[in-house]
Amino acid sequence: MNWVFYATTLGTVFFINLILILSVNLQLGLLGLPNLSFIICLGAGAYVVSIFSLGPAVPGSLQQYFFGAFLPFPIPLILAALVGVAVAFIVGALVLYRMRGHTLAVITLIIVLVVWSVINGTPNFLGGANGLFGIPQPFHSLAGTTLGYGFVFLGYVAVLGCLCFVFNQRFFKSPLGRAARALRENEQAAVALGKDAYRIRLIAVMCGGAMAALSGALLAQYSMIWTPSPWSLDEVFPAIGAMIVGGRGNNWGAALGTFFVSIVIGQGIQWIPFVSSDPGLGSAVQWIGEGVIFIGFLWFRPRGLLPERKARWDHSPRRVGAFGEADGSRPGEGVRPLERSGLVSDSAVSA
Amino acid sequence: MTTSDTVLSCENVTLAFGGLRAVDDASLSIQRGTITGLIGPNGAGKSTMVNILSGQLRPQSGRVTFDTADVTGFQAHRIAQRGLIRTFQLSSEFARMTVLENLMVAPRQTGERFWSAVFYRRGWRDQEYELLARAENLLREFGLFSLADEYAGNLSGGQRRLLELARALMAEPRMLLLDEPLAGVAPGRTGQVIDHIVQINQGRSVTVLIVEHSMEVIEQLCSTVLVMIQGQVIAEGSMQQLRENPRVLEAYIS
Repeated sequence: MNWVFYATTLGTVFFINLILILSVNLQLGLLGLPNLSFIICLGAGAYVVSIFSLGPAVPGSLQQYFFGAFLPFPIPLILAALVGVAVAFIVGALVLYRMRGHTLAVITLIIVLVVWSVINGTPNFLGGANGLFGIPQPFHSLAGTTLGYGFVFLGYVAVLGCLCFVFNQRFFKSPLGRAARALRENEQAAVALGKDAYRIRLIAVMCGGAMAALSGALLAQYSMIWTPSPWSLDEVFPAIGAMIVGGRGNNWGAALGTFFVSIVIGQGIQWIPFVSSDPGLGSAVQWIGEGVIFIGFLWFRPRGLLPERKARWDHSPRRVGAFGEADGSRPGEGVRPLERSGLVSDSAVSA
Repeated sequence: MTTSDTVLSCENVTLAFGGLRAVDDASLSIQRGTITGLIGPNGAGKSTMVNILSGQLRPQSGRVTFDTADVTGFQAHRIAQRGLIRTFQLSSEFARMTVLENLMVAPRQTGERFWSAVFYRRGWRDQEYELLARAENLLREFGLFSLADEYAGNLSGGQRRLLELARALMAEPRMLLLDEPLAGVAPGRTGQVIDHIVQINQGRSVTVLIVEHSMEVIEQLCSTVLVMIQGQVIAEGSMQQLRENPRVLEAYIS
């Protein structure tokens, strides 16, 4: 019984983190954009989902926020994602046109610090440092007991996590993803082939913003509390680290990295005997452990556990050609590749 | 001297970096279907000129016209989309992408639109196969077919140059700007690259502007040669004519 509860908790944490790390993978992994402001989108998503489901603020009560509404379930979540896109658009439009690489990282880092400090220090705006609490959870009518609800919530985040995964996979494998990778490899050359660097970067940052916001919204709903600490700068680097461990530019790697960092390290620490007896030690050991592992990966295996794969085309006629070459005949002689592979008739049937 | 058969021209273009006028009131025009050479001593402003023509740099004054349209100050990707494709002095392959993928990047395609890319794959799937077929034919033509699945970063200098040419052709250019296309090619292999440039010009009727240091190569390839010195185009003609031009001689000797 306890083990089942534990497992559902871990599963929920996994999927919530996965969505965030997919967002990082889309920006830093695919495009090489060190945009740290994704954490603002995460915070924005959580605040939006909170104030649109908590109802209007009660004057004189403990928590104060500037607006408040009570909207039925999917609407706060959708609004959270949209606000994430909007925040990413504002930040992206400001910084992406001129900045690259380290400059971009530093500027977005500063933006994170400024936004975080303002919200943390303004008690009446979004709860300030006290945060918001009592954030309602969706689908409560489906399950009576706490355990039952754990399953429901796990199912809910799993569905959204898988949707984000499929979204990223499709993005990466499309011509748009290919152009994005070309920009990462050599911006000047990609632009000289007619690729609009600004547009492609902005699209990736906005999609990443939506996913980060979704992850934040789910985290707020799950913990029912939202304060500035889960979207502070401390949370930026584990997310990037998880992507590096897993393999930049590979979504399966992102999933593996999420599992490794948020489950194996995060939970494994608790099982070390001297840590479990001293609660204060846990986070310190976790930081040290994560730091050592991230540096170790950057040093010895910079492409991660599952490196980015070479592009493949499923029905590639190339293989026919390759065999042709092997037995001495010249490949593709007089035959158009589409006809050789049967692609022409395939697409005619499916269309 | 702009005629109806001029494909690319610029008039009185100036660009200064601080006090240095890298391109100083320069004008040139390039006839459709030719291979034109651009030569000049180091620091004459050839690369700056290429960067202005292809939109990497914006001139401070003057006009650039491509295919009868004024493209002055256009962003580089918009000029490329109009069919003026350039290559770089340093080879610029996408290193961690396969050779075939390098080619597949080049064309402008439906699947680069966000909604189509992610939510309507059927909209670009057929185009993808057409492009694959074209890319593979180009790889055969350039002798890179057996390397299709190799990372571009693993190719030799000469192979990278060929890949860059093939990739540029994949974008279906109307004109190519080749900035030292033989840099980094082993001496014995330059002939192969030169043959491909001739083939691109004659077989595909693509106009070519080529910046190159080797006079032999220029003489072999180009019907018309432009000479740049100190930011200005001072002479135009065949190599034969230029050899007898006192201004050119003076500049190259001094």
